Amino acid sequence: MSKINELFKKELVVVNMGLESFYKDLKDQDVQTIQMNWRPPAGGNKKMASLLARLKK
Amino acid sequence: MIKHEIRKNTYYDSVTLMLISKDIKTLDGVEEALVGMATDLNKELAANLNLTNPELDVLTPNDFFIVVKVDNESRMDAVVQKVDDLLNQKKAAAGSDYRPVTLDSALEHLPGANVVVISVPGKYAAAEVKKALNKDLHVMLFSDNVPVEQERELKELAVEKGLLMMGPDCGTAIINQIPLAFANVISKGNIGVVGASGTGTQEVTVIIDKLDGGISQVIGTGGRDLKTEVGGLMMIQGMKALMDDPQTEVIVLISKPPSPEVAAKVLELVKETKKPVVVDFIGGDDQQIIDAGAYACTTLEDTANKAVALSKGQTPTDFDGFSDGEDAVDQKVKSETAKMLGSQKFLRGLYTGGTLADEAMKMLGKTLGGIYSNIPLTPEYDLDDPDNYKDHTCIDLGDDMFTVGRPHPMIDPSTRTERFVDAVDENVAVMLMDVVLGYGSHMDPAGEMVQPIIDAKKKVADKGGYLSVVCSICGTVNDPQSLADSKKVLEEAGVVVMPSNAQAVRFVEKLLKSV
Amino acid sequence: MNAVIVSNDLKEFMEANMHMTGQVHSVFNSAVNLITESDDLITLLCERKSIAPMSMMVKCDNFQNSFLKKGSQVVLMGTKIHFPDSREQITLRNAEEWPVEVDLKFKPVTPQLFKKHISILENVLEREGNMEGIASIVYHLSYPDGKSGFRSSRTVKMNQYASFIHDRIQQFMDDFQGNDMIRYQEDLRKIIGFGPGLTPSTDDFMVGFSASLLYMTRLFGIKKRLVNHVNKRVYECSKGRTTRVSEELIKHVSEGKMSKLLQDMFTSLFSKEDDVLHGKLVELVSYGDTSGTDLLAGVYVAVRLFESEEVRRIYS
Repeated sequence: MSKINELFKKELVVVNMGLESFYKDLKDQDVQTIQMNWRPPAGGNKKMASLLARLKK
Repeated sequence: MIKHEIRKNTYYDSVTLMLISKDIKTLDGVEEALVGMATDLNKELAANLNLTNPELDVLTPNDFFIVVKVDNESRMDAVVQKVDDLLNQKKAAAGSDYRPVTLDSALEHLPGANVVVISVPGKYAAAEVKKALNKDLHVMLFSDNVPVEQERELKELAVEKGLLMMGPDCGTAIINQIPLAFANVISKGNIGVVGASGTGTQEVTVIIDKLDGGISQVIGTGGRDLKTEVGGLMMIQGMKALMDDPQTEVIVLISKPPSPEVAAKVLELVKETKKPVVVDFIGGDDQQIIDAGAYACTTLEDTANKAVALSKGQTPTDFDGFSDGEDAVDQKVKSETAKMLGSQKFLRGLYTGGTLADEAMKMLGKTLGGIYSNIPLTPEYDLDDPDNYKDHTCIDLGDDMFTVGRPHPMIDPSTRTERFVDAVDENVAVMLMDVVLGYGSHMDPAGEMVQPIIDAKKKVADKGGYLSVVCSICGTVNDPQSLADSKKVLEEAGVVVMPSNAQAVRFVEKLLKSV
Repeated sequence: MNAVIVSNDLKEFMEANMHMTGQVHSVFNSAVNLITESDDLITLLCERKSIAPMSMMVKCDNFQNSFLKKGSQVVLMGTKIHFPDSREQITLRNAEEWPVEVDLKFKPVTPQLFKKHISILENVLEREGNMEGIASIVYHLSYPDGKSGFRSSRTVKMNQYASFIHDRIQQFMDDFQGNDMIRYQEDLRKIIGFGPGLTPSTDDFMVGFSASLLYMTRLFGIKKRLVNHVNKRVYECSKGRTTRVSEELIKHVSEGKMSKLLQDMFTSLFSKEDDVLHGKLVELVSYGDTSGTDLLAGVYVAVRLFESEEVRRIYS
C-alpha cells in the first residue's frame, strides 16, 4: 500500500509553516496541529545578512 | 469605593497584565481600574486617580496590584473572578501555543505529524518542501513564485518516495474530510477528486454536495502540474492513489487544458482502472477524453452532475440547462431586462475565482465574441488597464496584478468592493460575479457585496435604467459562513442568485441576447 | 533539558561559582528567572526568544508545563544546573557561547542614509507600535530642532500613563541637553519604574535611550566616558524603584550588554548594514506587549536630541 493510501487511513496531524489563518482553521476543526515560528534562513544571522548586503551591492 | 487585589511577589507577563486592565474596565459598575507593579510612581498615579489606599502603600515594586473603583462593594467579587479567569485562561491557551522554529523541533513536539502545509515566500519554499519530503511527510504547498524546475525536482522526489506534493500554488485540498487552505465542508462519500485548479475544485465539490453526493478525498496538484515541464506527475500520483483507495468509487480529474502529451499520459491510467473516470479539462479536447474511455464534461457543474450520477450507479447525462427549468429562467430574464435602457448592452464580470472567470469566458465566448480581460482567451482582448472597462469585460481579481501587497480577494473583499461601482455605467446591462464560501474565505463575502451592489444599481437607476446583477454562491450548508444567509442578503439586494457558475453564465447569455 | 546557547557572562559566572544555590524566581511561558544566593538573576529562555545577558536558551515546550516551579530550589554546578525538588537538570555542555557585549565595530551610517533609517523607525512605531504604554509622548514632546511632535501628520492622543509622565520626560530631555547632571538625575528618580507591564514603560524607554547613546558614540564623536556616566546614573536611579527584572535589564545596558535582538536592531539602525532593519524593528515591537514600542520611543527621543549640533558638542 502506498504512503498516500496509508495517509487516507490515518488521522491528519498537520505542521503549519506560514499563514496563521490556516492553522486557526485547522484548530477550529479540532485537527491536531502546530504552528511553526518560521524564519527565513539568513534572518537573525548577522554574518549571513551582511554577506547578502554585500552581494546586493 | 476603592477595592484592591494584591498578589505579593507574583509575576505575570506584560500581555496578561494589559489584558486584565482592559477587560476589568468593561465590567459593569467598574468606574476606573489600574493594574501593574507597585512601584512608587505607579502608586503615585493611583493616588492621582483617587485609587489609593493604605494596603497599596506598603507594597513593593515586585508586587502586582489591581485597584478598581467600583460603584458598589458587591462588584468586587466579579472583578476578582474575572482576574482569576484571565490569569488561568492565559496559561491554558499559551500551553497549546508552542511555536517551534525548525521542522525538527516541530516533529519532536508532534511526533505523529503526517502533513506539512507550507505558505512561506516562494523563494524559500523549495528548501522547506525538500526537508519535509525527506522526513517522509506529505506536503501541501500553497506558496507560488516557485520556479518550475524546482517544482519538477520536488515532485520527482515525492513520486520516488510515494508521497503527496500538492502545489506549488495549490489552494485547495480535502484529505480525510478535512478542508485544507481554501476548501469547503463537503459530505462524505465515494467520489475522489484530483484538481489542478483551486476554485474549479471548490465548485465541483460544492455541487457534488448539493446533489447529495459526497467526496472521499480531494487532492490538489497546483496550477502548473499538467504543463509539459512538470508532466502531470502529481495528477498521476494522485489518481493512482484514488485507484487504490477502497473508499473511492468514482474518480474526477479537473484541470485547465493540459499539453497533449501530458493529457495522453494521464488518460492512459483510465484503462488501468474499472472505476469510472470523469474528466474536465475546462474547454480542452473532449475527444481525447472519450477515446480514453473516460467521461468528458462541458462545465464544472456538468462534471459534478456526472460524478454524482456515477456514484449512485446511474448513467451520466449532460447537464447544460437550468435547475429551475427553462420557463422560470425566461421569466426572470424578462423581468430583469424590462426596465433597461436601449444603451445597456454589455457585461461586466468581476470574479475572485480565476477558474470560474475562465469558465464564464469560455462559455460566453461562443456567443458574445470577444471579452476583454486580464486573463483573455486571445491576446487582442488583453485589457492593459484592468480599471479601464470597455464593451464586454470579465476580470479575475485573484490574478497577481491585484494581489501584490494585499491579500487575495477571497480573503479581503475590498479589492472587488472598491471597484464595483466604477465598473458600471449606462452601457452595462449585467454584472456577473462569484461568491466563494468555505474555510480560508472571508467570514461574510456576500454581506460585504451588498452595499456596492446597491450603489451600482442606484447609479444606473439614476440614469433611468436598470442594472442586473447575477451571481452564484460556491458554498455548502456546512461551511463556516451561512449559505442560507448569504443567499438571502444577496436576493434582498436584488441579485439573481443561480445554483452554479455555469447556470449564472447561461442566465447572463440569455439576458444579453434579449437586450 | 539541554541548553543550546549560553551568554558568555553567564558561562563565566557559572565557572567562577562552581557551587551556588538559589531558587526559581518567576516562571512565564517562554522565560524563567532564577535568583542566586548572591542575588544574581539568571534567565532561561525559550527558542523563540533572543539570547540576552545572563541567560541561556533551552529547548523548551511552554515553561509553564515544565518541572520549573516558582520557589523551587536551584543548584548551579558549573556545567549543570540541578533542581533537587524535581531531580531534573539542565546541562550546558553542548551549548554554543554567545557574546553579550555590544560590538561597536561597524561601519557607521552616513547622514543621508540615517534620515532614511529614522523614517523607517517612525513608520514602524506608527504602523505597528502598541501605544498603550507611554510611547504616545513622542507626538507631544519638544525637540531641539524646534519642531515639536512626531514628524508625521498623524497624532496619537496621550493615555493616562503618557499624560502623567510627559512633563517629567520633557524636563529630563531639557536637563540632559544642557548636561545638567544633578538635575537630570533628580528627573530620573521621578521617571523610572512607571507604567504598565512587568518591565514598567519608562524603564523600557530608558533602556532604548541609554542603548542608543552607546551606539551614537560611533556616529557623532560622543565620548564613551560621558555616555557610560549617564547610563550608570540611570541604573543607580532604578535601584529599588522598579521590579527586579527591569532593574537587571537597565544594569546590563549600563554595562554595555544587551540581547541579540536589540544588538541586531541597533546595528541595522546605526550602520550601513541595514538589510534587516525593518524586520528587526517589527520583531521588537511585537515583544511583550508595550515593551518594544516604549523602548523604540526612547530610541527615537535619543536620536532626535542628538540631531542638534549643540547637544553633540556638549557630549563630545
